[in-house]
Amino acid sequence: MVQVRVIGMLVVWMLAAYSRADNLEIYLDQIKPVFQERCYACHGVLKQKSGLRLDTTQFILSGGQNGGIINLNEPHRSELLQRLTTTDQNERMPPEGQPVDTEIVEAIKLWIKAGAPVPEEESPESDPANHWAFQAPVKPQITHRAQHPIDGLLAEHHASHDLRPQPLAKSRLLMRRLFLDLTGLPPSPEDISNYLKNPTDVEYSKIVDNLLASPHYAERWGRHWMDVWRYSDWFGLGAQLRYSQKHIWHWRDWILDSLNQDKGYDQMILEMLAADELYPLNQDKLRATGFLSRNYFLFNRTTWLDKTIEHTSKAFLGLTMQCSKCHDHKYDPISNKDYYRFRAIFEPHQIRTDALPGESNLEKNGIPRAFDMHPDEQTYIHLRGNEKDLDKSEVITPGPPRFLGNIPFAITPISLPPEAYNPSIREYFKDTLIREADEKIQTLEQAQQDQQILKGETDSLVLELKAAKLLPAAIRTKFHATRLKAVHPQAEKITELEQQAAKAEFEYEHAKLDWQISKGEFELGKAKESEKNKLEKKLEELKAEKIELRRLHEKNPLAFTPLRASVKALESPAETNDERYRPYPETTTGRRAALAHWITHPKNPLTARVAVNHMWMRHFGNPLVEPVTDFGLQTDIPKLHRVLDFLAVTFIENGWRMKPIHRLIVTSQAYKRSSSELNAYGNNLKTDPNNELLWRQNSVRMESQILRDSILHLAKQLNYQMGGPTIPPDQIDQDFRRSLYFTHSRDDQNKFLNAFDDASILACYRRTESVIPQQALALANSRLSMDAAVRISKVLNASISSNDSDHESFVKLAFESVLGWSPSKEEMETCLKQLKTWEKDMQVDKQPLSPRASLVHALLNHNDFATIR
Amino acid sequence: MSHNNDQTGDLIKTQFLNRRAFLSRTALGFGSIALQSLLHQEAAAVPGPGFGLPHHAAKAKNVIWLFMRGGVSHMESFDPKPALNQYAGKSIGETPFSGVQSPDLLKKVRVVVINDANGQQRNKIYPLQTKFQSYGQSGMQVSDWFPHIGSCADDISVIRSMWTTDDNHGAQVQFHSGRHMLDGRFPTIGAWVTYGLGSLNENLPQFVTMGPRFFDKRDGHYLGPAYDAVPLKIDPKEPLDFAKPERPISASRQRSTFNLVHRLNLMRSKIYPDDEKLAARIQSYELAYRMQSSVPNLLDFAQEPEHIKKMYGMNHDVTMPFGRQLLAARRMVEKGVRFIQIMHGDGAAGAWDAHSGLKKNHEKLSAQVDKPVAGLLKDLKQRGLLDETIVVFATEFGRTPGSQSQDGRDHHPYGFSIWMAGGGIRGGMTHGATDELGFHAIESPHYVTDVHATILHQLGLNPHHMEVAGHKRLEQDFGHVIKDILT
Repeated sequence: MVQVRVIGMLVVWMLAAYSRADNLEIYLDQIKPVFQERCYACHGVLKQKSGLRLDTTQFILSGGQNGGIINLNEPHRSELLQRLTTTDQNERMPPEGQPVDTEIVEAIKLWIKAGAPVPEEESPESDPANHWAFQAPVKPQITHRAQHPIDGLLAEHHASHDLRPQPLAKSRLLMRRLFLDLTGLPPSPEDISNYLKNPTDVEYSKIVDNLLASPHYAERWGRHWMDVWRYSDWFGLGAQLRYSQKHIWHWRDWILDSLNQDKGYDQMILEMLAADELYPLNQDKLRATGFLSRNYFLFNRTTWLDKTIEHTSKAFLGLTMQCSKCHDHKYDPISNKDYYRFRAIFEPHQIRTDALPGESNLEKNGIPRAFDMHPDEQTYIHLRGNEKDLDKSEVITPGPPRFLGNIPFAITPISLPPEAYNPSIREYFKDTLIREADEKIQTLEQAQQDQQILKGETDSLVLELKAAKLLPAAIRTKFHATRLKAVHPQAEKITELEQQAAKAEFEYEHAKLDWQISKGEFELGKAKESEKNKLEKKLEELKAEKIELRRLHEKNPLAFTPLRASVKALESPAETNDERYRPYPETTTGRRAALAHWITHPKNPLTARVAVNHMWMRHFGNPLVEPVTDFGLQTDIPKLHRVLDFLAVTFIENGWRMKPIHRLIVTSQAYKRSSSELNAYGNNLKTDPNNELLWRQNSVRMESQILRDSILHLAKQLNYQMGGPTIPPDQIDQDFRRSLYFTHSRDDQNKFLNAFDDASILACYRRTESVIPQQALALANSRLSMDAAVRISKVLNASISSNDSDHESFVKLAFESVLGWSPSKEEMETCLKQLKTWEKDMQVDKQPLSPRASLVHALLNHNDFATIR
Repeated sequence: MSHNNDQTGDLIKTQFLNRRAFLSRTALGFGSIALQSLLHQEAAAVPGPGFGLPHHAAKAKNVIWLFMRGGVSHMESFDPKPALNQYAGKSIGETPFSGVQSPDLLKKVRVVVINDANGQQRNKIYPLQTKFQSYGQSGMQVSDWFPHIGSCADDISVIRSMWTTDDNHGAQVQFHSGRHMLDGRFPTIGAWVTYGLGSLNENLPQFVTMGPRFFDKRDGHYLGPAYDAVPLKIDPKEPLDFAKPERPISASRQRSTFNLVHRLNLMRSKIYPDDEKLAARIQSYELAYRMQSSVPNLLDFAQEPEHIKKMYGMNHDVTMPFGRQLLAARRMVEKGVRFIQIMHGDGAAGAWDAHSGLKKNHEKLSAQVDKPVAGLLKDLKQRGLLDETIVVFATEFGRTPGSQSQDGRDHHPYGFSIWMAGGGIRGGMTHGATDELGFHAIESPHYVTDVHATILHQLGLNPHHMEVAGHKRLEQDFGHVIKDILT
């Protein structure tokens, strides 16, 4: 502290010697930035608490509704200084955080003493409505003549900054880049030679079309969107599910299917947020609501909804709404109330799992999906974000942030068809149960025929079979009774059917107990003395249950347990299992559908921009707008905003389809340029060293999944089967499916993929790209890369016709296949020399790896293998 | 291509590597740096990529961070409360200290699990399950479950006034990061230290973790994975993932393969002369190659004399597992590993979580750690390393003064104890206090980040100056240096 004080005094002393002009500088350089950071949020353009603004000197001098804050005659008595320095916590400004540094207070004092000089042309903070990202994008006029609109737009920048773009990448590297970008798999030598034979724009376009039509495109870009939408498989504590949902891979398959079909992004958003409201019986589309199911959190509803709000707004709107949970947003025009309006949209929803055809056990399969369980649940503001401190004075009505007021938002409650809210009346579910029951009968009949059963157990088997044979009737009658009641609630026949169902269920349950009692008696007969007590007790219980069953049936001859085709996720650990089977509401609020329509409205200035920015980033390594999750006031208009707007408008014009945007981007010269800065025009490196204006392409490190997939693809080991349940990560050395199909959760991660910055399950709008020694160890020492080296060398050997001693052909092919370029003279000589040395070693010692396998191993470890140049 | 955004850490790192004009160095050929650094270890020290140099003169260089997972009872380790014996069996309301349950005092805790059985008030006072003795010249009170640590009393500062806000085991995450689990994930103290200071040894990772983790297995978070702790196992055969080739390869073939990779990368750098990531990649291969032998060497205790191993309790089954992790930690300190994090206590919640059978539980677990920890302190001291190494003995929260399930205690975030030693921390010091029941930290209360601030301060870093663009830190993230425990 002593040190700080001394420095503070020094500053004051120096300031005292300053002139008026210097005092102006003090205001601009020292005071204004602090006001901006600490005060403008409440005393600026967004809000004027106590009628006070501090964003210009004029405003400061005119004070607020309680009078002036500057006293030019007695500077030290200025309200401003007193509020900054008081020790009274209720009075002190700013109310949050540490007090303003004493140096700044001294600077303010000095500035007031100097008469609070007013800078020329000081303009107030601009109206947030004027923020670039809050204006609808307009397709820019392209003045520069170029074959491709993106190149035309970039050429304007290049011309004005005196930049000269690099030449196009060499054909081989270009093909490698294109294939990896669009499918995540490197090209084969044939793919490359086809293009080399005819390296024209027409041929290039044809290749692009083929790649975009390939299902591998969906696997590559599906994984990108899984990053953005926070894909995670379920995890918890042991068997207790705490986060996300089981079978959420159905959502992953929906992502892949949607990309393959080139479904419009607007449609994808509608389905992810509200398929249950818009397409209540469409199982394919319902998969999409995995986007919401993923946010499930067992323990705390507020945390669950906070994540839903944060990531819905970040992913689709590029807004950081989470900042307004406790107070109005500091920078953006999103109020605390807006946050809870947004929450109210999601307040009624819960998650449930519906059975799919062919499997009645929801632990084994089913679709985790959203639905409105509590349409009347009310939303209140949590005071200062405290979930235990609700402001009950006002019920918050659902709605999107109000600052984008010109986009229509209309909520219409939707009546659901009975099969949607009562899945047990779906025909396929009954059929599934009947098939499963029939299979059980067959198994038991087979067992009886085989007579591999101990004597004495036969009796119980007979009884088990008897019970099993009663089950199909119970299923059928229950199904018909429930269905009729749901579809024609007034039908006369209902009572009769209910009676049949209750009777069939009773008979089945009764027979089941007969069997269990018989089995219990058999077990008792051969049990050890020590266990007999327990078994006897259990037997008594079963007998009592049988009596109770009959009593209940006679008392309520119409009552039966409905079939269970759906189970709701626990809303909290306090909920009981039975509560999970409560009937679902017959209507849905329509709130999420309204939000989805609002987000995808063509007038929404954010949605298309945010999406094309994500796509651009994954083609060029850097986004146009940075950070990708914040298009708010803190983010300045991007240098290439005309490119952004061109793409955004084009995207909407093309029905929000992604493939046309990919095609547009990858056919530009900008995309095709070399990523090397070698021999670049001198001014390029001087004016734009970070390549913000794209005078060259960027190099990107492969994502972890693409790295593993590429290794296996080159080794001709990759299993191209698509979709389906996730694969446990410990099978990664035996199962050669593409990496995106492995279970991905907090607890299930693969150590190889992890080493290369696998997607964080918490949030991954952009992958990290680290360079750490564990990556070198993984590529050098893993089974994956060592086995692949051997296999790839064999693949290459098979495709060079010449004899074993023709190392030159081998080295050339290895470079071209693994790295994507033909070796330089120096590289060739180095490798040939190394191969010869290794051959000599082989004569001395038996080495496990052939020299050629080792060469491939080295190339897999080459920086440029993991790099998309 | 550079990512000048939230992955600032990596960017800084790569820029930093570039500044070091890697080409001139690496042109000497693969392995040349290894030789250099073996000869001049200090010369090879890498200043921190975050800031380059410490902010002020450092009192300490390394940290050994011992964390007891599950929650150690403060009243039965370092904060004796005779009142618990006096009022045993009574409800808190029946004691003169009923005020501890005033809602105002209780409100700062955030529950993760609403209506959870854990974290409820436990009303019936449960007597102390062990006795206390005075130790050393300071007369510090330490329970009979930690006699060996007691014998080091004059080297440690006990802080009896810790508090945190999570009433469940997410408090483990909070103790390391300073933020409640529901806030998301933030860099841990070990990540900040290594981010701020960098490595002392180019042959070894700078931040190592041993033992079980559960709620958060990462450290770097927004600083980037380069600041994640490298998990090590006490197994010279496979101390870290991929440390050894998973398929047969001769040592000479492996070396010549690495060498070939190195030369080919250098050739490529002629075409991409300004590619910082390529430069970093070349260097990472150097470190990786050296780690293959340096890390197993670290864990090869063959050269350690028997009497040293005995200090760590490696001659007994009970103390051996923790003892060898601590011996490894000392060896890492000698080799310049910056931050060594060792977690004790298996299971998701952590073994110390004695909701029932507290006596049996704490007796068993304290026996596993007491002797090795004392051995570590004494061994560091006799080598003169304790002066520059901070040892922290911590846990996520304490346990309730009242009983749970007859013979256990529940989670207790309002007041608990930890201790620190070495690296300019005073010895024989007892700092802060809880009330008579051990309920609230009432004298010099310290939030968890005060421990972080103290460590950073001793290492020469100012937590207020450790900001990363795009990541606003809260006041609580910085913490306040606990000056009373400094020499």
